[in-house]
Amino acid sequence: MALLYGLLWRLLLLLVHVNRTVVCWLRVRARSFQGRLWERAVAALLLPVALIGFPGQQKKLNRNPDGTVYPVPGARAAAAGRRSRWVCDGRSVEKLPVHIGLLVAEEEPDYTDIANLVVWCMAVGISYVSVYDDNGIFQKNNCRLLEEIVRQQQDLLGTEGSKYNVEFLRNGSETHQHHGRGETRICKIYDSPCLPEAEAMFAINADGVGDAKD
Amino acid sequence: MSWIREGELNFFQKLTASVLKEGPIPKHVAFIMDGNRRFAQKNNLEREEGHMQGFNKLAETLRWCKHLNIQEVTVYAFSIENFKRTKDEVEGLMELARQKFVRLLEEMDKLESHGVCIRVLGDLNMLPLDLQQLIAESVVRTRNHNKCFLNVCFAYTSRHEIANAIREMAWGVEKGLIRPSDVSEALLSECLYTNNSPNPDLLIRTSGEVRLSDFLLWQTSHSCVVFQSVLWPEYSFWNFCQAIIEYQLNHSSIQRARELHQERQALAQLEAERACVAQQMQHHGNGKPADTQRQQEALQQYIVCREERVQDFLEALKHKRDSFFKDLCSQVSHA
Repeated sequence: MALLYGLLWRLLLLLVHVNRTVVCWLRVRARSFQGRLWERAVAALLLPVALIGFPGQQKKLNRNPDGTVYPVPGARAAAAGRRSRWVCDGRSVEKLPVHIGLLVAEEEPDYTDIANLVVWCMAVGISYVSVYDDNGIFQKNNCRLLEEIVRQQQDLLGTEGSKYNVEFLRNGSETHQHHGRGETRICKIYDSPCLPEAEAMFAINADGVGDAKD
Repeated sequence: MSWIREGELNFFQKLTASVLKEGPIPKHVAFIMDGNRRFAQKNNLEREEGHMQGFNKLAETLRWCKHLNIQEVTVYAFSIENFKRTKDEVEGLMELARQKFVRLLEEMDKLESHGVCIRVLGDLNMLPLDLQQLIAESVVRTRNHNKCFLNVCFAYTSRHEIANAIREMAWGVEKGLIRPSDVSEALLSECLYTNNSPNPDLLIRTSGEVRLSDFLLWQTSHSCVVFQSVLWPEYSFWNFCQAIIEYQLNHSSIQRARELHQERQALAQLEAERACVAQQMQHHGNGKPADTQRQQEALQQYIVCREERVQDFLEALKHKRDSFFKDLCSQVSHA
């Protein structure tokens, strides 16, 4: 009897798996069929849904007070058009979250996907984004994530994207890293045996980290 | 209506239960019983009637858990935030609680025969005194039952619980029972109201709301969380089975995450202990680096001492909590 129940159990789980895969596949087909309409509906519905947030990395996005859209010629028009659509999507939602938490449950998270999510949040007007994954991958490779975000900013938002500054706030570490200009970086020293608590500028050169040229 | 619903499952329910029991079954399930008021509105009933139906559903759910060999159930009966509702509604809920606990005391032999241990978690000082006394009596009289456990969260929020646990640890340091370096995640878990229970394996929230509402936030960090749109008084055995299947589908990945977390915690604990010992040796040593064997011995010694300290502290905490209930009970017998 136990053997029969065991087999029935495996069959039950298999049926549930199959059911979910079919439903997922149908959703994807419906999405591609209805195109933009579906995307906008899903985006408008999903934006206010509170995603589970965990303490981890936080990025503070400073919005430029002058956030108007200028008409630009050529290929940049596509990026501008996208951004203005996202701003409209954001405005069409009654309430926007101030802080979104992204809990990434994948074994090997994709930097581009997360960077896209962050850029969309930026475009729609969400100021704080926390990113967390169970293995601490993003925390260890935060430079790579930041590069990816900047790249996606360029691709998706064009010149409008440079209006938004991404500021990196890392919990549990001893330095806050701010972007400087060009190759220079500014870091705030909190705890050091020999340096006073102040801001220091250093440069990332071809041969490694060194003093900044004045 | 009674806390214990007797009765067997029907044929199909029994069959499904037998099939589900072939897979992993959660040992501890937590419920956020949401949707009583909406149910009342939907069926043109009074709100009190909605809550009454909600309680009946709880009794039924406990019966299903017994048939599925789920030993421990925690329910979110009343949040500290709920005190903000209208005075009438709060008074109505307190009155319902009084009736239910009086009924529970009347059914003590049934509880004993089923081995049900009732625990009430939360800041009981916020409740009216007579209700506190009823609760204390129920808890004390079912303390030694050990077949199944029902934890009722009353005047509870998770953040309040965590803040309370930190206060207890601060009390321990103040009394000299533990050192500040003994404070850890594991010790905090032991100071929560739920320290006698394992963490929930499955958290179910009904009525379609997708939020945690400050319930067991610390304890459910590695639990399967299932949100179901059915209203609590309409919860059926099949809804419950759906949640269990969800748990079974995610069981292995959650287990992996849990084990990884435990490994990391153990490593972090060992590192902290090594650092403490190194500091100790620096202070008491004569500047010469100690050999590995002496370091190991010192580490072992430190661990043994720390564990003893922590045990003594937890005993003192248990004694403090038991006295709280005993004092309430003795107030009743003297009155």
